[in-house]
Formats: sequence, structure tokens, C-alpha cells
Amino acid sequence: MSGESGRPSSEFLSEAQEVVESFSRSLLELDAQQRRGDYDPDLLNAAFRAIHSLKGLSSLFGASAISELSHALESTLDGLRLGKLPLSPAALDLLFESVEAFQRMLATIGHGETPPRSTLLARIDALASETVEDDSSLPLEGLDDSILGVLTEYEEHRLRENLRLGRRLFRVHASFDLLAIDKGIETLKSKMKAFGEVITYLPSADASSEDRIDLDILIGSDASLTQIVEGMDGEAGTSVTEITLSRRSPEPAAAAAPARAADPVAAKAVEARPTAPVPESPTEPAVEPAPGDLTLRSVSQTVRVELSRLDHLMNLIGELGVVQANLESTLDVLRAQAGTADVARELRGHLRSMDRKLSLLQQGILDVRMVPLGQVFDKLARVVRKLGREAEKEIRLQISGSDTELDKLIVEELSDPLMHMIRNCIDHGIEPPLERKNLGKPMAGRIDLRAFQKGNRVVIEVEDDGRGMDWREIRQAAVRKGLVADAASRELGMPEVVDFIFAPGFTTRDSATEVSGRGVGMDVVKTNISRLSGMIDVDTTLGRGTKFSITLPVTLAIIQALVIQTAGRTYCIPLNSVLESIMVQHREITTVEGHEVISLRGKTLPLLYLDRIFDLDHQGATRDLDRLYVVIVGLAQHRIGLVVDELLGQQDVVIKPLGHALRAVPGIAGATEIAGGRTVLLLDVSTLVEEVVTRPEKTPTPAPRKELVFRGR
Amino acid sequence: MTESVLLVEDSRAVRDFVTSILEQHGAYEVVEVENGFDALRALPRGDYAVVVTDVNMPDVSGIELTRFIRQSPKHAKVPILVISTDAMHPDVDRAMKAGATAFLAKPFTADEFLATLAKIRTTPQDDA
Repeated sequence: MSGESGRPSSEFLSEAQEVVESFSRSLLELDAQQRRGDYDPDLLNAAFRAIHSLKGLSSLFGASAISELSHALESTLDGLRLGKLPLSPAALDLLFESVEAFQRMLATIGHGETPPRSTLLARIDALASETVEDDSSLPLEGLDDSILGVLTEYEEHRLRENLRLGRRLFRVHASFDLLAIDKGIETLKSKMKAFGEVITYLPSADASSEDRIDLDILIGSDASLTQIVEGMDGEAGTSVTEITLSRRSPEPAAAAAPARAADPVAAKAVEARPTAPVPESPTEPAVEPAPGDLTLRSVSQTVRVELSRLDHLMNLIGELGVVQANLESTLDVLRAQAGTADVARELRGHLRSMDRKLSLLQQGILDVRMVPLGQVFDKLARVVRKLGREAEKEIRLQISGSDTELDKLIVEELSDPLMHMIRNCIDHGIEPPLERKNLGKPMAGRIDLRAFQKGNRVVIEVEDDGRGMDWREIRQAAVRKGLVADAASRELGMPEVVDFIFAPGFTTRDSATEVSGRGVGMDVVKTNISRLSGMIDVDTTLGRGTKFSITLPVTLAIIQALVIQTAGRTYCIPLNSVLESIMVQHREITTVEGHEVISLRGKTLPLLYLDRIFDLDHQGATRDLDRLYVVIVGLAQHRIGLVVDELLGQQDVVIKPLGHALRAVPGIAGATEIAGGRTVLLLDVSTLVEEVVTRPEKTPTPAPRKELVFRGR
Repeated sequence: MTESVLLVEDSRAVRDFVTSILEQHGAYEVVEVENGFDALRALPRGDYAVVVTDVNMPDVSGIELTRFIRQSPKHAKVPILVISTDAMHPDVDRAMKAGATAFLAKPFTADEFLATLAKIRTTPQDDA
């Protein structure tokens, strides 16, 4: 195959990635369940099947390194799922290590494959060689050969395992409408899971009609026949039979069920009572295809789309929005004219419904781009496990909000900063077990990883219960590194001091350990988060722990913008970065070290005049000094106020790339069209903030508190 | 005239690969499904000249599917080609016992696949 396709296709890569992720999820769940005591054998089987698929996939597409590793793992996992190998912590470690190895291989594929490390392969082989043949297999005499003959090796193993545990065996016979079989099976599955293990589904061909299918479902359970029948809850068309083997396991539980040698199968049968009579011909679903036509060609329910195609659609929607805004202006013109009132009213009605449809369309496209954060969280869970072990600290990771969704691009970009923060928690935050014990804390450290939606933003919190940060120590380090003058530093409050951890190269420890990742610190995290138009806040209590909160926009492609005016020019500010807009009077502005600031709820807020930054001429118009608008924008841990003349309102805008002439202008992120067909510039908040933060003698001191006249929006 | 092939395989990329082989060959039309249940659903609604199936699938395995096909009047005689990575696995043996016509181990080339297909199509009695 490799000869024909040249190099592995993107379909191969994306599927292999999915398979490895599902493998990893099964392992994490196994690990968690194992710690709690017992684990669901289905998880091991799922892990085996993932690796089995990966092996087939990679061999077909000529990815030899992946194929080699999955081949080695397959026999180990086969031994594990068949109970020939114990699921030891060492075995789990090896499996987790393999996930990392697969991911490395997938990342470097096409750039010269790296073969799996021979030590990893050797250890996997060594583990597999410990496989013991299960010679205690119970005879399955009396079990209908029509069942036994078609079980897979694994299903047969589960059957024996259920018997070994002294469970009874039931055969549930159910009839399903072919078109709705998935749903029917799902319902039945969830009902049966409560009672025991579904060993297999055996389809039988003697269904009453072409539109239905009969299944025999083999279940191992501790429950009695009556309990199972009741549990089926009158599921239409089902009957339950207990299967009694001629010789059962020697467990005492088995003695309770008398064996019947003469009639091995079907000791007693109870028909479940259907809640409603089963119609001979089931009610036809509305969309039933004509027999023989090819509606089944694509049963798969998903389509994979490149992000760039979605971007294109997104741009078109943005442009449609502009067209719509233009139509609105035309409507205004129409209304101003005499004799067109009826036409205007009609047009307005159409426009309104177009507006609704347009926003639905926009929402639809945005939804398509959304992926759950669980993708990243799973990765982090593996990191926690690995790093905790390396640092010899026991870590309990609590994850919530895995299903919170964010734009695919943002989720991709988040993984590195979150990884770094988790590393910091384990390396610097959480104390060694003994130290924790002496402090009266639980030996196991705790990290909480939470995600939740807050308005149209998503908040991700990383919180540990470790030693917290000493803000005095941070202040001293900041002075030592020349980030702030000694005298000035004493004026700073705790929140401002803690913010220094985001300064480039800042670290309070002289040597970063192996775990924390040398040289890279929170400044990189901050940069990454800023690039996503996100904000990061930190809250720490010495001795109690630290919490980082990252606030992110849900998507980057279409943004909501605040349209403002200054010196007669119009600009857009990404609403993601806007915290609030306030109105101030000129006299509230004080000057500190040559820079203008206001005081907002006790915090000093540096101001930036847009007209000065962009060298705009007010053309004789004087500013209304009693009515200045300040738009407060935040990026990472910084907050500044942009002084503007007017706030014109909010709009959804699509960012368009800039022409060459403007690309070099700092403070401008792009251009966009707003209503009326005008092209306006979109401000780049990050460079504006940078401008303020890096200006000379930036040390702010608290300004006298003033009453705020007005707080808008 | 084109004939229908039912392809049962849970890997999307493998499905795409087999389908492209069959479509390039020209004489086959492929109905792809990704698991045993979908295969059960597809069977009564089509008239298949060949069934190609993976062995290792959740819930309804290739073995169970094979037995089902052999029991159903409509497709009882259809050639069944089992594809799997592990030729030595006991499950392959079980699938053959349940009535599969031939087995082909992954990885295979387009030529190997088409040759096996041609063989089970033309002289099924030799392979049984």
C-alpha cells in the first residue's frame, strides 16, 4: 500500500490520531477505576480493539513504526483482556508510555519516521512473555453450539469469566425494527448494564419480516430471572431465558440453580409483557427508503472538513452581514421618502427575517468549529500522571467541564500553556507528601481543572492546593531583576505584585527543575493566551494554593467589536478584550510620572489617547472635557483605558487581512467593513497594551480616589 | 453491469482504501458500513455479490455476521471475504468455520485484494 499512496494520507493521520486518543481515554478510565477497586472489562477490550485497528490501519498505509509498536502492544493487550496477564501498575505505565510514543510518531510522520525505542518494545515484549495460559477453563458443555460456535475468543473468555464468578447466564431474545436498531439496542443495553454484563449479540436470520431483525443477547448476571424480566420493563418483543449448563462452576452460588441435564438450555422462559401490543407490521417511519435503493451508501454520520473551508464560509457570512446592513440603510432612505411607506414596511419585514436566518447560519457555522475541551484535558491527565510519578508526588486530578466547547483553533493553541501551568503546579505548587503531612494537609496533592461557559466566553481554571505564592518574595525578585524600583515596589498591592510572575524571564527559583521546563515561564503562557485574545488572572494564598483563571473567547473567526470614534475617525475594538466602558470627566484624570491615569475601584488604570497614538488631527473641534469615554481593555494580566470621543455600538465583524501599506502600522490588527460599506480599522489591543506597559517610568502609584460619573454598557 | 459489494469495516481509512480499489476497478459498486449492526440493516435492502468484512468489531463481530448471512435465505450463498490484521488469530479460524469463503490478511495491495475477490467470485466451490 505504501508504494501506491506514497506517504500516509491525511485520512490516515486523522483516524490514527482519533484511535490513539480513544485508546488513551480507555486507559485513563481504566486507571481511575483500578484505583477505586474494580474495573469494567469492556475498557480493556476497547483498548485492545483500538490498538488492533491501529495496527491494521498503519500497516495498510505503510506507517511501519506505528505498525511495529501496535503489533507489540496488541499481544500484551490481548493477554490482558483475556485474563492471561494481570493489569499491574507497571503494565498500565507501559501502556501510557506507548500513548506518548504513538503521539511522537504521529507528529513526526512524513518527516522521516522514528522507529519505536527498542527499550520500550523490549519491555512490552517482556511483559507479553509473562502471559500464562489459562488452563483452568471451565467446560462449557450444554451450551448451545449455535452460540458457542460464533463467539469470538474474547466473548468466550467473558462467558467463562462470568461463570467463574458464579453468575447466571441469560439469553434475551429481542426483535428490532431494522431502521431503528441503533436506538433499540442502546435502550436495551442501558437496561441490561444495570444487571450484569452483555457478553454478545447474536443476530438470527429467522425474523418475522424483512424489516425486522431478531437478536439473541447473552447476559451474565447475579440477578434472578424474574428480576431480569422486570428490568426489561416490558420492552416490546423480548423474552428472557435462563441458560443452565450441565456442569456449572463449583461456586456455591451455582448450587442454587438446579442443573437439568436432560434439558440443558431453556430451563424456564418468561415472556416479557409488552406495554402495548406489538403490531404485526410496525408503524412505518416517515423516511423509509424504497427497498433496494442506495440510501445506505453512507451510513457514517460524520463529515470531515478542513478548517480553511469553514473560514471561507465564515467570511461569506460576514460579507452577507455587511450586505444586510447596507439594505438597512437603503430602507432608511426609503422611509424618508413620501409614498413608499408600504414598500418600506414590507422590506423591513423581509430584512428582519433575513437577520434571524443570518444569525442562525452564523451560529451554525460556529457550532461546526466547536470541539470539546476534553481533548486537551485527556492529554493533561496523562501529563499529571507521568509528572506526579517523576516528582514522587501523589496528585489527585479533578476534571470538570470536559464537554465545554471552544473553537478548534483555540483548543489546539491551549494545550501548551495549560501543560506548562500543570507542570508548575506539580513542580512548584504541590509540596512533597511528607511536607504536606506535617502541614496537616492530605498527602495527595489536588489539582482542579475546570472549564465552564460564562456568557460568550469560556473560563478555564487551574487550581492547586499547594504552597501558594509568597508575594513579598515575588516583590523582592522583581526589584532584583530591575522590573520595578525598590521604593515604588512598596506602593504596590498584592495583585499588582503577583502579576510580575507574567514578566519575561521571571522566576523566583534560581534553578528550574527538570519538570518545570527550563527557561520558559509564565510569560510564555501569557503570550500564548494573549494571542488567543484571552485574559489570565492569578489568585494565590500563601500555604493554601494558587488558582489561575483563563478567560477566552469562544471563537476567533467572527468577532464582536465595539465601534468607536475619535477625532472623527471610526475604529473597531474586539469586544473580547473590552471589559467595560465608562464615562469620565477630565478632572478625574491625574498625572503620574508624566502619564495620565484614572483610579478605578481602587486600582490605577493607565490611559492611552487613541488620537495621540495615531497622530490624528481634531481639525479644530474641541473635546468635550466633561464627557470623555474610556474603554477599558484587558489582555493577559494588564488593564488599560483607551480614551475615545464616542461609542457607536457593537457589531459582529469579520477580520480581513490588511494591505501592505498598513501591515507595518503598530496598533492595527486588520480591517473590517461595517454598515454603510465603510472599511474601518480594527485595533490590535495587544500592541496598544504593550505600548503602555513598556513606556518609560511606567511605575504607577495610586491616584486619589474619585467618584465615577457614569458607567455604561 | 456493476455489482454491489457490502463492505463492513470500522476503520474509515481502511474503508476508503478498499472502496477506492473497487471503484477504480470499475465493475463494483460499494456499500460501506462501519459495524455489524449497520451490516444487518444493509443486508435485507441490497442484493450483494460479495460481502467483505472485518472480524474484530464490537457487539456483532465478523463471526456472528458470517453466521447470520449464511442463515439468511437471501444471501446464504454470497461469498464472504474476511479481512483482518492477524492471520493467526483464533477468531479468523472461527469466522472460516462459521462459513466465510476466504481470508485476506492486512496489509494487502490493490492487486492482491482484486485477485482474491475474483477468485471467490468465479470459483466459489474451489475455495469452500
